[in-house]
Amino acid sequence: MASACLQVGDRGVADPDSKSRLDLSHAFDAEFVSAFSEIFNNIVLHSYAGGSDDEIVIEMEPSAERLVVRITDNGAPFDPDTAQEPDLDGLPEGGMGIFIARAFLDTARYEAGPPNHWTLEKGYASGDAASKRSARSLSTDDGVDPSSGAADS
Amino acid sequence: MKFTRTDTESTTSLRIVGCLDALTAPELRPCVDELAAGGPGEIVVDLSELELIDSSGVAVIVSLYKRVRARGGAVKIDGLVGQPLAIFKLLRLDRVFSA
Repeated sequence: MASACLQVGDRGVADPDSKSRLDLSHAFDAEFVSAFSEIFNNIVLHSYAGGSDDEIVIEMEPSAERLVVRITDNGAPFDPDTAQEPDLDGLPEGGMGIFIARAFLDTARYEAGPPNHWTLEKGYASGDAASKRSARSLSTDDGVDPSSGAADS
Repeated sequence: MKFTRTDTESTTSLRIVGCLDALTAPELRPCVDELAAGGPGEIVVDLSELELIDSSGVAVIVSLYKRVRARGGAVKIDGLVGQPLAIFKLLRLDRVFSA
């Protein structure tokens, strides 16, 4: 298992002037990066809304079939009842982050703490979740723990 | 993230390059506010070199769309590919902006 540790203040991990391009041409990469970004930003912007020098631990567990990423933080736990499904017909300007993460992953499980734990799982063969997901509404059969949830940006 | 605004007589083009996310979306807000406050006309948002967008980036684009539409203008999105296209499809925005 690989792990990384980021300080909450290290939001600018990507160099905005970098000439290198992200390669997200594969559906799996695009969807996992999208989901991870939403969860990570949620932790920084909401769990640590007041700012902090605390650390966020990221553990990656790749296997032949799937990638599992675990994120641990010591920020404020989310309120499970605030993760509402956005009304896409109403062109929302918020509340989309957790929806995106859930849609693109096989499992997005949250355990409130602190420490708070996110477990993100996706099989390499489960790409193109967007089209599958947009065709149905959110339900609890996608691996999301129905007893947990998160605030959202 | 970098962006370029180009004005012609009838159309304004906004080209966004790189990553439009929670970190960079605030940099685009003043430009979007200025565009939204302008007169009716067409705004074309060129995303052909946008590598990544997240929900914060989408919020800026949707905000532009709503405000321009409210004053009788139009917003079109050009060049959606890759990860941004996947996000727009998931949020059903590809249909909104292709109309």
